[in-house]
Formats: sequence, structure tokens, C-alpha cells
Amino acid sequence: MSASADRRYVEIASLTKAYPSAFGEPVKAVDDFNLILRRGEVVSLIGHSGCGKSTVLTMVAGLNDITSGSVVLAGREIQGPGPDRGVVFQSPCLLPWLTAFQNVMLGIDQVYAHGTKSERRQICEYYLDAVGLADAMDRYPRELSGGMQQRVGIARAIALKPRMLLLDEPFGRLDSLTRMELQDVILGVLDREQITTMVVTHDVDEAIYMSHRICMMTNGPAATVGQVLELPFDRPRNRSELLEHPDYYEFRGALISFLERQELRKSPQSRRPDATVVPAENATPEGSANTLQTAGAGGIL
Amino acid sequence: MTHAVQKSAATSTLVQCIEVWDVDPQASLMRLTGHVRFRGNLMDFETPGRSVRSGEGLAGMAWHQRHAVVLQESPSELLQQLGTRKGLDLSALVAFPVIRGHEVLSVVVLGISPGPGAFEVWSRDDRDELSISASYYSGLKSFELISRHVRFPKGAGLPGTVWKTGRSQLACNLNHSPGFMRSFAADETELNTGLGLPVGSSAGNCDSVLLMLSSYAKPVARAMEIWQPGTGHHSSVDSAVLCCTAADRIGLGGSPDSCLAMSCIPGAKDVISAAWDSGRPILTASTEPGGSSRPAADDGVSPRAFLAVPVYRSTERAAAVLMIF
Repeated sequence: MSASADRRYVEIASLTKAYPSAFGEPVKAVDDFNLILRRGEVVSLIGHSGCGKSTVLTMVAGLNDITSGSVVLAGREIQGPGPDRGVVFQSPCLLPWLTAFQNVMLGIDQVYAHGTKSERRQICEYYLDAVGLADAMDRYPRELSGGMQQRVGIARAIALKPRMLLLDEPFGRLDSLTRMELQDVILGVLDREQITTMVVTHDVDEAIYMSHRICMMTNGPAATVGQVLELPFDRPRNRSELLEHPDYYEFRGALISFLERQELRKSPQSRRPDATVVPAENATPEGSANTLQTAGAGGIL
Repeated sequence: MTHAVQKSAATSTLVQCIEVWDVDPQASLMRLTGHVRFRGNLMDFETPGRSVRSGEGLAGMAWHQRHAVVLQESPSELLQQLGTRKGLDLSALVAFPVIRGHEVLSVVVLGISPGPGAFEVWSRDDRDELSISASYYSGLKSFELISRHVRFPKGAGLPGTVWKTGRSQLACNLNHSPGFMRSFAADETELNTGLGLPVGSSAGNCDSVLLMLSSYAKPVARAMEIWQPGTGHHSSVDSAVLCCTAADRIGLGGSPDSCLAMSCIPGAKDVISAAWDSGRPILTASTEPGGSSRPAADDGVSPRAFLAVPVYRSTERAAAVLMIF
């Protein structure tokens, strides 16, 4: 694949999701969302609860119909779900009657059907080992902690060697220590495998720690990209070094402030015309007293 | 939010000198057609006939490159020379071209004095996002740090809105505005107003955006306004009804809520009209009452000079931006 194609590995263009409304016009949950991801890049989506982050992610995953716009992955427009995209949700949803090994093998058997049984077994063992479950492969989900179950879910997704990994608040149900541990596990795998990844999270520190870029979404309805922050911190990331970086708290403060400002949009007071970007093309000059007629060179009425 | 500086008009502006250069019809030279400099309460206005070729000097550079140029190396020999020659304390120079279709008509040069504020040139990168390609910041350490890492897709933030609409945009009350995406630092720096100008607009799509961010204490200009043709008059531009669709007059004693107040400033309409009709930037100085040709004395409230700049969308005039000093 050319360098140019790698620079625009995932192209999300004018992505819009509208839901029918009983009261008239359809309600747009997401409107005109544009984002381009480079190959191997990790991009976090942050925004308030219900702003539409997961809607974007599920549209990219092909699990949610796109109202308008497109998602192009490695030069091909996505049409529904496919093995080129691995998805990890907050809950791993493992099949309880299968062991960790069997849960991961389920997908591998489908995607690597051409490989020998031994090869498939090796792939499965490799990825379970990569997420730190080498000693727990034969355990059933009920015998695993929440963090371990999520590791199985992650191994199941990345074992299929997806072109893109989609993580929807993957650590949302885990305690802090397990969360940090799992973040390191995933970061290790992503840096090694160079998998292009989109992460939905509420956690500002998590977004900074894991991402090359952070896409800040405005509040819904009609949520869209507010701005994108490109993080200057070196990879592979080291948590303690990152926390000691002189600019870390500047970036963290900017993210938190953005979220606070978005919260202000909800209050009616902040909707005064002077408190927003003045859309000059939406102004109504006809009604204004401050008009001027020009007629030919220099003519003023 | 109450700011002491809002109570009285700021007499000093960030912009301390202005030059307007017009490209001649043969496009071989660019002539200085207007020049103003403010020195304390004094102001000089002259229209010398100096000329430069494409690529010569800052104005020639903006003409040649067809986008806004920021000169702010510190210490910059050119800045020092210029400042000494003009008796000004300049910390940056900003030049931007006025482009109609593919033709550069004029270049406006602004000499910037020290004070809190920012001038940013946002250009499209290989991801179709706007990132900063040139900038000048003063007293905005955090804002500068973060801004260098911010990217705006089409339609996002003030620069992205200018890009999407292909029109100039004025944002007021930045420190209260959720629409201004980088408002995290606006509070600490008292940034008040943002003016976005599309540069190099072709086929309704601009190549870059010049953003001027103004503070309460020392605004870029005392007032900034956007004038546009009224609905239904877009096609007959020679007899257009122009309307003020956005305004910020904090430097003339206006309140932060005056963004859409439609009070008319004497002299403003003449300049807007002249710029609209000629299709080029017009720079004029306020003159003393009674028709004297001498510049009016600076009383701290009355306008000293007007700069009107037409904004093109492809080859059509889309708006005119008025800056009052």
C-alpha cells in the first residue's frame, strides 16, 4: 500500500445519522462528521455521555446504518460489518459454555479457514499470550475476573488481524488498577501490530495515554467534530514519564475545559447569539437598520 | 463577566501600522496606495507611490505565495529596521492577499505592536484538516502551545466554519463561547473577539484562513464588522444592499454584548461602499471636523482610521470586512 494511501487509511466523510421523529423532521444524532486516520494510528473520541461517540463507532463498525456520508477503510467503502474491523465493547460477551481458548478460536476458525488446525491453534495461543492469559486459556468465563474476560474479548478481536480495531469504552467496567493494566496490554499490542484503532472513552487521561490524536466531539443533537488534538508525546508510552511531561497538564486542562464548555451549550443562557460563532451567512440583514445601498462607484444611499 | 477595560474604550490597538498595496493591471508591480501608522496619540496618513515586484518584501511575498504571511522572528532585523524607521515598536508583521478567483488584487500589511492577541494562518493539510502554518502570539503561552497541536476539519471551530462557508466570520465573547473550541485559554488571556478571513478562495473553497484574535485590553482594532449583500441582491453586486451582519465594537466603548448591535459609526459606510465598488481594500483616515485634510485628533473614542477589505468567494464579492482603528 502506498504512503499516500497509508496517510488516508480510514476516511470518514460527512457521516450523518438521523432517526425518525414522531414530531416532524428526523433528528440528527450525528451530523457531518469528518475524520481521517493514518494507518496504525490510535484515535480517541471523547465527548459527553450521549453525544454520539458510540453512534459514530457503530457506524464505522457497520453495525449501525449510515444515513448519509461514507466510511472508506483501506480504499474500500464499508458496507455492513466485516472481519476487517474488530470491535470490543464494554462487556466482552463471551460464550459461557466455551473456554477462553475456544471463544477466541471461534472467530479464527472462520477467518483462517484455509490454515491448518495447528496454525490456527498457534494464532490463538499467540494472542491469548499477548494479553497475558497464557495460563488461563482453558478456563471458562465464570472462572475469570472481569478484567480477564475483557482480555479474552480483546484477544478475540485482534486475533483476526483486523485492518481496524474499534474499542467502545473497553475499560468502563473495570477498577482503576485493572484498567491501567489493560491499557498497557492493549497499547503494547497496538504498537507492535500497528493496528489502526478508534477508542471511545469518557476518560481524559485514558485518551491522552493511549492516543496519537484525540477527536473532541460537540454535544448532540447533531454532534460533530469540535476539534482534533494531536498529541506530541513519544510512543511507546510510559505512564510515569507521561505524567511528568511538562505539557501533560496543559493538554489535560484543554480537554477538560472543552468538555466543560460543551456542557454550557445545554444552558439556555449560553445560546445567546453573541455567545456563539456568529454565522454571518445565517444573519438576517433584511431586518437590520444598518444597511447601505451602493449604486455604481462610490454611490451611497 | 466584568472587565474594567470594558468600561472605557481601549485607545491603543495591536495594529500600529497598515499598508495597502494594489497590484497594477499588468500584474507586474504592486503599488503602495495607502499607509497609516499610529504613534501614541499621533497618526500619519500618506499615500506614497512606492512599488514592489512579486516576491519582494513582505507584501511581495504574500502576493507571490498567495496566502497570508507572518513575520515575527525575534529579534528580526527587518522588524527592527522597520520599527526604527517608522518610530514604532513592532513585534510582528502580517500580510494577507485579497484574491479574486486566481488573481491577486491587493495585499494588506499590518504592523503589530506587543500586547495580548494572536494572528494565525490555518492551512489545509494532507488530511483535509486545518492546521497552523504560520502564527504570532503574544502573552498567550498555553493557548499557543495547544493551538499548535489543534486540527480543525471542515466546519469545525472558527477556522473550519470560515473554510466551510467560504465567508468571513466574526466571533464575540470568546471566553463564554462554546462555539469557540479553544476557549480553554480565552478566560485566562481575556481574548474577546475572533475574526476569520478566507484567503485564496476558489470555487467556493478557501485554501487557508487568517484568524485575528483580539483581547479586551488591547484589541486588534477598535471595532470589526462584517458587511454582506442582503438576500436577493447577490447577483447585482454593483447595486447591492450591504448589511452589517456581525460587529464587535469593544474598542469604541461597546459592551461585550454589542456583537450584533447595529449602531452606525460615522464614516464607516463610505469606506465600505468604496471597497465594495472598487473591489479592493480601502484605507482612509478620519479627518478633522470641517473638512480639513489633517487626521482627526485622537480623543480615545472617535475612529482614527478605517480599513475595508472585500472578501471574494471565487470571483464574486461575498462580503466586506471593516476594521476601525
